[in-house]
Amino acid sequence: MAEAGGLSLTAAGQALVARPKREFDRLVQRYHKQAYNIAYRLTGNHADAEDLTQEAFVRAFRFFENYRRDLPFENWLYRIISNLFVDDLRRKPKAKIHSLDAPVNGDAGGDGNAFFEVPDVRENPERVVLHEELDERIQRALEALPADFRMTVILADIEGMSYEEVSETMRCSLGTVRSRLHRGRKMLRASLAGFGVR
Amino acid sequence: MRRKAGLLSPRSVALTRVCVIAIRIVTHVSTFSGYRALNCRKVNSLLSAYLDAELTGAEMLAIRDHLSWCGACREEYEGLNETKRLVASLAFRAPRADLEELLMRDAARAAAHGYGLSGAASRLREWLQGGTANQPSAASTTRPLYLRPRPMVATVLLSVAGIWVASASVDSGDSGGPASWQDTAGLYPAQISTVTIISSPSVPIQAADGTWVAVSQPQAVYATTIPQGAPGFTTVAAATETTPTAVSLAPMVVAVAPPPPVVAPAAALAPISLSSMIPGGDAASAFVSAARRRLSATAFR
Repeated sequence: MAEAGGLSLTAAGQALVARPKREFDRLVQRYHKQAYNIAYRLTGNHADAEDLTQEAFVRAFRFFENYRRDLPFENWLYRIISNLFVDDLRRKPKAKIHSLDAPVNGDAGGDGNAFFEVPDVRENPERVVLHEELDERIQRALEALPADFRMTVILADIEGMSYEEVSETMRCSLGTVRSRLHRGRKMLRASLAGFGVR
Repeated sequence: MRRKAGLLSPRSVALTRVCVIAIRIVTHVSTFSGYRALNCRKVNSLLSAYLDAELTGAEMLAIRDHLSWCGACREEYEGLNETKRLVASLAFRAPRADLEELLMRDAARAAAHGYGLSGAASRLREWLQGGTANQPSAASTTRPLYLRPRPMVATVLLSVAGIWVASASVDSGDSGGPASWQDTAGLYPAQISTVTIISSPSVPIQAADGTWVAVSQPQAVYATTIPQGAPGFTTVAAATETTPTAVSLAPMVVAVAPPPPVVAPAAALAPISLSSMIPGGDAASAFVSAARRRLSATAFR
């Protein structure tokens, strides 16, 4: 690397070549868990979530040059994840469809009317760990949403982004964010209706 | 008196009151229900945004008021609120422990293929790998300038070209010749002995006697035509020139190589005038003159 065709890199040159990779590694370190969590909530399983995360980071690295530093890196990364995921869905649409009617593991006992307590941070500072079954149920409800709606709900309700941030990340208007989120929540609500949600 | 008494009799008064109340009820119910239906629909469509406090103050107040008396909308609101809280309370899914390492390795592999380096670094890399060992082919000589068609970048380039051309002409003693620069991303005429790779707003001004010097850069690979063996190019000009867009120039030499043995066809060496290449070429010429004056007063005295 230092020598090629009679040309040698100075120390400054080597630093120049190494700089983007170092910067990128720092960003990997900082954001990979968050990105993975989003990928998991989009795909619904660890294997796909891992693939999606890896693909997203590789793409991010390849286009690192295009990354505008005034946009938060995570927003840019989530945009890549979103694009990849939507593309992926288009390529193999059947792979992601789940039935909401199928019983969730351990849900066959007919406790569909059980009311699950929703953790409220104001009243209970300790984060209440939801029962795995409810988590699974919500996950399935999420997976039943159209990809765009799912991403919008995840960014707004899991990542806690403002509408403006979501619109910037997903490259759509505020009106679209508002409508996707509202319709997404209504669909989720309907899906979870027998599961403690009014 | 009797008539009056008849009109004001308790019976007729009661009857009148009943009629009035009935009329009021009918009109009230119709307007009320119409108003309510319309309003509920509107309110309903805004409930998620209300929940997220993403409405104007007036809208927030109007909906809060509506929810205070409309049970159906309140129920809808509570349902959406619960849904939001359910989604928000989903457990955080952590990746396996070595994912971070895996991602960095992926990036390293991509980097080995030349991806993800900043523009300057990746072109420098191409140059190093294809580099001076390759003969310039017809195809490579027709490669376009890496100049992005944006005025801002053009201005940055202008500053580089300006400074460089100025230093070239000062040092070679060529005061009368036209200022010129050429793309040498693909061609390596013997006459050209410097490749400038500009990186970040800091732009290098380079040099080494009769050698190739690559310097760092933001978006482009540029080269300037200077006579080979021109004296005095060992100076890395420390002059900080402020361009019309206030981009400061700071030199950084990143690679050095002997001049390539290949001489490009004469046509490829035809100088391109700044004013024909850069939007606002007259300003460019003016800037070059100014840069020359400043440089001769500072870096090369």
